[in-house]
Amino acid sequence: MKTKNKDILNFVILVLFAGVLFIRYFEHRIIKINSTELAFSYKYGFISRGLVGTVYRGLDKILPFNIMTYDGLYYFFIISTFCLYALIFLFAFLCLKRSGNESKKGIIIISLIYIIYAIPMFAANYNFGRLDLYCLMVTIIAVISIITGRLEWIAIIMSALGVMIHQGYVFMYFSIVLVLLLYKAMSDDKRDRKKSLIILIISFTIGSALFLYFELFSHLNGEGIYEEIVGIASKICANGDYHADVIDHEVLGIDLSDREIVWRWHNGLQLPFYILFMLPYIVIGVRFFKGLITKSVNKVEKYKYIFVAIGSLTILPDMIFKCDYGRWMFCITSYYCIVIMALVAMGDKLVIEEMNIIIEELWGNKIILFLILYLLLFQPLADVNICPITTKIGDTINGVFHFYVDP
Amino acid sequence: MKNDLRKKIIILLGFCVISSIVFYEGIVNSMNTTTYAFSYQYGFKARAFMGTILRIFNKIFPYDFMSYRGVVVFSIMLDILFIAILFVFYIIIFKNAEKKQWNKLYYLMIMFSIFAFPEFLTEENLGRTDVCLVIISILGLILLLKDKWEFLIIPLSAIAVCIHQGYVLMYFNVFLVILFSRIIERQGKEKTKSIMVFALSVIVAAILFIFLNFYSHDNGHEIFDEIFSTASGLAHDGAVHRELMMHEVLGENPFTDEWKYHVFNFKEMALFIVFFIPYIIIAFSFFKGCIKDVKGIDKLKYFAIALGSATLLPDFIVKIDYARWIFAGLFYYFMIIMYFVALKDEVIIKNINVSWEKLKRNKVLAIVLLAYPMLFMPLGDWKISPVTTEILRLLGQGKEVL
Repeated sequence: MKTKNKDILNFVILVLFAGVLFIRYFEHRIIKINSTELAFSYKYGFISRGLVGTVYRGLDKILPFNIMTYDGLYYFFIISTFCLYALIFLFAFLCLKRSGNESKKGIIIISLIYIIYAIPMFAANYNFGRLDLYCLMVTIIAVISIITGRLEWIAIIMSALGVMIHQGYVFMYFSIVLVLLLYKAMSDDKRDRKKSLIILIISFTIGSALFLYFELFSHLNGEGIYEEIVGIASKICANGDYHADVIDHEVLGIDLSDREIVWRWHNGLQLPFYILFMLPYIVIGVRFFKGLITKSVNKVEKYKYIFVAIGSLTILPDMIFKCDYGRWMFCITSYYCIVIMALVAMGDKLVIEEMNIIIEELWGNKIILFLILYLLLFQPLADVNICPITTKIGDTINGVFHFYVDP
Repeated sequence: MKNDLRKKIIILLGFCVISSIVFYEGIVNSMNTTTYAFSYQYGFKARAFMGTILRIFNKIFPYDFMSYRGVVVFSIMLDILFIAILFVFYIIIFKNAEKKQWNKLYYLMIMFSIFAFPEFLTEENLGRTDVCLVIISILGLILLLKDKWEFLIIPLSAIAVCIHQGYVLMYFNVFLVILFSRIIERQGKEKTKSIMVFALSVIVAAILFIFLNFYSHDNGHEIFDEIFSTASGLAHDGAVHRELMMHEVLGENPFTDEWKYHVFNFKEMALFIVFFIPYIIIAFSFFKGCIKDVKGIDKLKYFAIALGSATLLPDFIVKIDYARWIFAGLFYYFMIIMYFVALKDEVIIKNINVSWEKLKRNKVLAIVLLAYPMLFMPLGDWKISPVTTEILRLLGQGKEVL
């Protein structure tokens, strides 16, 4: 009973902390790319990124007031953001409940780390209302179904929805679902193995098919719908100022690589510094996975943990072809936090043992205090720019060497 | 032991560097640049000390300090000096304290550093002379800890009042409370010495405060234009803080329109207190324990320690820079507790241990209590913190001032 009360108290503490974190970073503004994307809808055919816009228009039809305005979108995004936060907390609480006493400290610490990233990420204006939040929502729902082992087939539907929300989902958050399904497929229980394998294959197939369709075939009628989408975007964006590039890319299929050269300079200057600053966590992560892999009892277990360790590499195509490094860093953080918590919740003994070893060591020399505090200095993650510190450093270096001129 | 200390300091230093990059804004506002226009070339004027030092630097070094860029560089140097002295203080605290208190001290140091590292880097406070007051206070604390040259508290306090006469309300309390505690604890010659230092510090500071506040504006009108011109040259965009000039040079009180800021202060302060209730409860419980544990005249000592920050009350009533008063209050409590732990004060240590044991029972709470203040950084000047200001703005409060 005492442990249960302590769990609830710790959870409440996290929620209150998250509340203040939200107030700290919320900027009350939707930037044009995030509002423009809600102009896409299935009214124009089965186009990429059209799902959320379709849901939004459906709401506009149902509700007795007009929400096809900037203000309507603003409140829709607030509700969506809070839904995401609620899901994150639900997931954390589930993991806490399902973990043994020896793992609770680890779960709370990883939850705290993830909250420090996730709350500011979707509160600050760069990503307030960004489609990534819906991608993360469907991912968490899928992960919850995988952990609980109930209605696991929902993972197939969530995967499909994820790609329909944003086809980049296949690189960003899909790996979380796939790795957990693969993990379960490589687990001891024969029944679990078969079921998970089937769900994995179907999810992967549907996700890939949808991705290829949206990337290669969904722009065929682009010219015909362009003006209407611009019209809608003007209504829902602040001061009618819509994001022309995203419409050009998603509706007309125009390649934006030449327009993004400046942003690639931002990426190139900032990434090395971000990696440098995150070295303590990278070292801890490498130690953690090295421990898992070396302590594995057989080859299957070894490969299981190798896949878990490298699952975030699906972000590489995004890092090569796309410039939103702040979002990709968040994807990597999400992957490791969610997957590790899920594995602990699923009772993986080796993961629990290795996590506890590392946490006890960090706790013993008080480094854990700094590991939490330190993260707060890097919030919020942005989009093209990674975070405020790397932005400052990148701008300072560019001030001296003049590598680029911002448009 | 040396390795452990080295590791703690290096980690804290790393945190300081990253923190500084995050919060450094590189702008000295007109209030702070105007202050550097005052100097003793015009007579013994209020707040002229640092302007005089700036001019000395300008004469000695081959760099134009009498420019905006010069003021920025000078301000950065002061902040680096503040951080350096703070770390020296931390090291001395560790070396004087018992090893078993190190974890508690480290926790306190981290918590204070969260407030301290960004304090003088933002646009509101970069170059503000409060940094000098803090440097002097820490220097004095080091001397008191080493129990060497106690009498130097007198000239240090005098210099601090010359830098900013508000020192008597903001940071003087640390010296006074420590000297007062020595008067109670010590006997014979040592007691007499402490009484002398206490009395002389108070007298010198009081005389300087009264003179600089009421009698240093005699030729104000004659020098106004020249100082105004200098201030304009030191500012980023030529902007001079007229009200400050009229107050410090002419002795007038142009701050008549501050009531709307005060109203905002009261609301924001109430909100800030609500957000920091856990810490207030912990502090209250701590001091209550200290006072209960002693009898007779010793109670006076711990009452003085508990209530020493009350010297800030006149500032809270009359002036609007609530964030600065809050920082001064935090400085007082953190410094005084660390000081007494380093001095192995049994009552303080016993109650620190009690608080620590309570905190240890819930380690998650301990971490969150440490991380939580970071959400409110940086402290400003008349606006306390981004979180509280934003909440009031959302509630439609303070429209006239925001």
